[in-house]
Amino acid sequence: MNLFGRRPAGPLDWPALQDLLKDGKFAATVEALRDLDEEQRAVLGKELVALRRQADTWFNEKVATAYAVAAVGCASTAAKAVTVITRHGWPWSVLQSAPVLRAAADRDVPWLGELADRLAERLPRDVVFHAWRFTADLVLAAGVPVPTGERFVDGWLLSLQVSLRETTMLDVLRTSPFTDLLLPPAFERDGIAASISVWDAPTRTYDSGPGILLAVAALVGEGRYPRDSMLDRCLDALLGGRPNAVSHGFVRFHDALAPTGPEIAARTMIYLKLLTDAMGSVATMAQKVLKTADADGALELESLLDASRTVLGRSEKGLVKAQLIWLEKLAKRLPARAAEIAEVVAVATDHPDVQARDRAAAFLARHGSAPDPLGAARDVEPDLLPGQVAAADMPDPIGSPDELAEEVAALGQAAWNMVPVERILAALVRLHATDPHSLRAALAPVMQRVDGQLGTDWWSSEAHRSAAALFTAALNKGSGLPFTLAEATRVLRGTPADIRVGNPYMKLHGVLMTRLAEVVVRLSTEPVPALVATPTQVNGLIDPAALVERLARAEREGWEPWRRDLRQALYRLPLDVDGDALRQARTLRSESGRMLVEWLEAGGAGRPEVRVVRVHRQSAERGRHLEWLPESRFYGASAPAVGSGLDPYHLTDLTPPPVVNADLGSHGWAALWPSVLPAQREVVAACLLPLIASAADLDNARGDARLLPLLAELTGPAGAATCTAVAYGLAAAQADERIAALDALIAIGGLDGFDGGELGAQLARLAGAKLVVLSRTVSQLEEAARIAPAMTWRVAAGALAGLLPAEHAGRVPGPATARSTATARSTTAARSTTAARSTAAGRADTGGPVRTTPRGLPDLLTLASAAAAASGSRGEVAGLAELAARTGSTRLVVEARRLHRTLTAG
Amino acid sequence: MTNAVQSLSYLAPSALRDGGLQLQTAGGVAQRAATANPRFFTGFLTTPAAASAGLLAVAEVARTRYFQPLSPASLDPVVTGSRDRLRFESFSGCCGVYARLDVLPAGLDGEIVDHGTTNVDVNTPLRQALQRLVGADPLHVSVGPDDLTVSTMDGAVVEKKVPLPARWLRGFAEVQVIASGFDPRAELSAADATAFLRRLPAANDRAVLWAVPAGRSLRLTSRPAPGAVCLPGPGRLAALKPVLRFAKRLRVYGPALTTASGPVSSTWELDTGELRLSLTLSPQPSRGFSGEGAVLAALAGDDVVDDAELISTLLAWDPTVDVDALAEQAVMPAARVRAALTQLGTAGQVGFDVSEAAYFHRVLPYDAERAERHNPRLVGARTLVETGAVSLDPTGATVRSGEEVYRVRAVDGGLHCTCAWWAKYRGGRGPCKHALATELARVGAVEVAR
Repeated sequence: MNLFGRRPAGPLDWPALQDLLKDGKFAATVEALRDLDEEQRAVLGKELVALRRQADTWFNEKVATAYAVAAVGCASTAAKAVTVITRHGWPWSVLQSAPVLRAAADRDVPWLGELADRLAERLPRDVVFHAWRFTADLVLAAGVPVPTGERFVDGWLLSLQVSLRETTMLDVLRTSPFTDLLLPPAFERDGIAASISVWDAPTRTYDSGPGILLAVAALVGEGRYPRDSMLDRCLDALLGGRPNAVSHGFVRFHDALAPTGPEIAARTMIYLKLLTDAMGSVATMAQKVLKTADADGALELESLLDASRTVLGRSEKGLVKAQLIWLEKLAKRLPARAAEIAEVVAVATDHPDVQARDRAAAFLARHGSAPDPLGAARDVEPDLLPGQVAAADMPDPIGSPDELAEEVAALGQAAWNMVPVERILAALVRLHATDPHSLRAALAPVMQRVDGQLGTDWWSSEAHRSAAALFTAALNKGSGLPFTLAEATRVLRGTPADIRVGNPYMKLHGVLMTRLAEVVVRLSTEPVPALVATPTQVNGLIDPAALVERLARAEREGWEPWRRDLRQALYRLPLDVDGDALRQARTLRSESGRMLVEWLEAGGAGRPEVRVVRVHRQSAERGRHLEWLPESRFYGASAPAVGSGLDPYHLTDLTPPPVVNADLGSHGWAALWPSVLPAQREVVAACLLPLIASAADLDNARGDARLLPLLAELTGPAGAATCTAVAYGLAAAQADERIAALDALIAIGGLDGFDGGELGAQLARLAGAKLVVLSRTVSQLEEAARIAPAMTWRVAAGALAGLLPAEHAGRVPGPATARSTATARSTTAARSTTAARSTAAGRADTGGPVRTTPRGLPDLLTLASAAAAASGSRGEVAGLAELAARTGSTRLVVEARRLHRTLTAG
Repeated sequence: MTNAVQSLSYLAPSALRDGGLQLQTAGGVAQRAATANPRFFTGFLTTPAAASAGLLAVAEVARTRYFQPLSPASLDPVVTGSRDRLRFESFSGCCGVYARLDVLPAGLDGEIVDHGTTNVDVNTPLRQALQRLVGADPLHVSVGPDDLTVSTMDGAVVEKKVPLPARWLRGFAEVQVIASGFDPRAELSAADATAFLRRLPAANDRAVLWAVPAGRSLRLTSRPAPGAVCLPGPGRLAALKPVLRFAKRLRVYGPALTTASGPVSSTWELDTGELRLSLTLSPQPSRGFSGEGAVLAALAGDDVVDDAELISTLLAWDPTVDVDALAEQAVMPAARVRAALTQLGTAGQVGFDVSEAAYFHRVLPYDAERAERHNPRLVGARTLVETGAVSLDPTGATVRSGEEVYRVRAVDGGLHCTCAWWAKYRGGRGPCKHALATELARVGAVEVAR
């Protein structure tokens, strides 16, 4: 370049071309290349191909186009041109095709078609429109056969949607030069059924539908494509098991094609295949089409009956019902064949859907071959519940510093739970007292890798972060790394209840934190060779004999266990301790020993009274958004055992908040709460209730019902709080959390003293007040009924007793307080529902607005019938007889009659 | 390692015509005739509707990526002609699902003319024709070109070029070794199986579920337990659906579990009496079988490789491999035969049939062994050893990798590590590269000592 920035006259050299390219002067590049001869082009081409891609360079439209111009103008082969083009922008940058084609024309490039083919092969998987358009322009300019590869087809389908603002899909298809060639392969691609929204001016709405297919149908209507082959393609696509959305698109296409009688008659076998094999909505479409064919006499009875056998085994209720109705009509029309038809209908008598069974049975009864009446001859199925299972033993203690290091490294990888945390704490304290040097050497490299937020996420609440920080501090101290002492000292000064004022349910967390703080502070100042509160069972319990032995060892070796560690150990003792352990404990002479004896003699923390109370949402004030909170929620309230029991931390004293307050944040450490108080299931349930309820009654499901199986593993009675927690869990928004709740139900369902009616009553209270979705719980109870029909029947009966009376009174079940002393309730007899009725009757009814039937109530009735039949239960449910006596044939009434029949049969 | 490309040339496209089903083959090995287009079977399928649904299911798995669904890969299934049965196998593009259709002797009426393994062409018109297939009359089928196709070869050859990623190859071979540790866990009637599969949560296909036998059926549970099976990514069982209505039983196989188990793989098998269709799922939808490291767990010594070579010469396309008979023939203990079979499994020389609980002879028509040698973890371990990062000591080793220090320690014959990878899987995916490096360094140290 000279002083004035102009190129000197004469042929273009490589540095000058490079400048043009860098500046994106594609038009100038076209000009500069025009008059070069092949020799000059070859020189430049060699340099161009050798040019490496600059890392992290984004090519704007001009630069990318300039490189493509140079590639076409200089490269010696199509392959080399592709190298240059893909190295400098394509497929992600926008390229202008006109200058490139101009340069190609100037040079009269013989391999332009090959270039187009090669680019078409290299289109990205998620096709980019601009890349496709550039490629398509080359294809058209070169006049080569149109590529039919799937990516080129995908690009074409995408391009059809680009210019819809100005024109209609029909016009786009009419004018696209590719339509005839690419339409057949396009039927293989899901993009052809893409849902396209089009602004419809007259109605002022967006119209969405499979725009491309509907336009194709219009072209078929114009006679541009033969109907037969298009209909076949459509049916092939429907048979192909494509994704649901695609199949829906093809169903619309099928409707738009509107096959005629003869067209359908020629394809009945395919429609029958769709009816038996395709997804629900497609099968429904095929059913309708076949019915018209049948009406026209175009369907062979044998084929229809053959297909019906399969259809009646399908799970879609509507499809099965329609098929049964069809067969019923058929039997009326062809009385001579009724026996054959009845034989097929018999398939539906053991359909999972009870309505289908009823319909089939009614049909068979009319045609003389009635099967045995519903459930009459069924054997009573026993409950397969595990009952009280002793919790598994803790794994062996961690042996070496290396093993400890491995466990610490693994901490963040699995769900947070008690077992590794307790094993690590135990090993940390022991090794720090016995082998601090090896401990430091092994732990330091690992602690440098893990971050300080063990068991928490970025959205975790403050309390959970603090626990993590304390745990990290303890491990850092053992590793000889810097750590913070201040927080630990602060926590140690207070009591567990101080940890978080205002939320009594964090008390268990407080116990965890004080114990962690104690480890941080005492690790060096008062080293002990062992912790005494390490559980012996995975649910957190400590075998009393093991604790006696630990304290005896401390006496022998002359050290005193840490105070908070000992407190935790005591809280982890079972409530019922045999005399042997107490006798052994009395031989201890130390202060710790004395505390243990005192604890055992007092019966631990005793048997507190736990209730569940309904708390309402604060009325909105000063623009605060409270609508995301549930209207009300059930909280646990606990009063310490009167006259007996020791509870230095006041863990059994829980007062519910005055208004609903949702605890936000993750609950990583909440998985450890049950192990803090493993002998008091009800108190733990009360503490976990807000977390479990949040999984069911908040829209975005911030809670965690997966804690329920931990609750089920604890000991102590399963009363109102546990039942409410399980009831919330069964209605959780997430499927996996509902499954966890079912696990818990099965675990506690077989316990002595578990009252299914109580759980049912809690469910009714939640569902009646519309705090949870009843239908979610029904699907879990159906699963439970397969394993334990009698237990499930009691739950269902309890729920019905709470919900059915309201169907008559037209009122919402009022706020209620269910009391369950923590002493075990007597089990209701298997065949009676007296407990359930008394719970419902004892409830205060304060009235409310006229109610609507909760969704899922008919399903609950169906489930109750099945469970009652399977378990051979008889009896009464409050409000059932009245409902069954109503006239009408709504599902609610039909199902109520069924249950009433079942309960009063024989 | 750069990805290989497989080029196949079929003499004609597979097709379903009036004359029956003609499946075209290319590549692989055959016992009797050394040909590029082996011919294994001519005769009838006794249950054509079920067989075509099964064949479509196998082809569907081959074209699907269950994880990060992008456009389907299009690798052809592989067919093996054993002494009395045909086995069609495929492996999904995401390396997470292995499908096999066994056409049992009851499902075949005809002559198995040769034994071996080859690729079988499945094309769009064939799929559509199979979809449309109805009727219960036996269907004529030929696997391999018939004389007519050979004689009228007019150059209309079907050429297919497909990339063969190394991880795909490795996974295809390794899934056999993983399945060899499975036991039957549950057996459901067709009705119970249909109901169970229908109850599976539809959303969230990436979830890992567990199922325990409960009564006549299975019940989903939130946690692993002894006797349970893992169901990772339940959506991946979709390919079973079309065959469900022909099935008499659903059997489920998996490894033994404890309450502390992590996600593991499992096999779900539909049995119609004449056919068996099985799907084997990787432990998580995001985990391909390629990374499971089953072979790395027993880092092959030279003697195992020698044994494997000897055993491979004795395999004779039996439908199941009899370990005791092989041990007798080869004059070596059964345990060594089993180790050799594991080695052959990862080399793609044998497959594992969970319902027979036995290996079967099948030579993948790809170079799977080469892929295994280039296992990224093994390559990483070799680098560590070569750079002197491993210092051995009596209890294990200290491995320095860059700034980081890892402790590898010996536990009950295995090696544990403090790295994040080991922490995540705890042995569920074979040894980590530090443990492998320690193993290599130990072998090296022994050799130096000699």
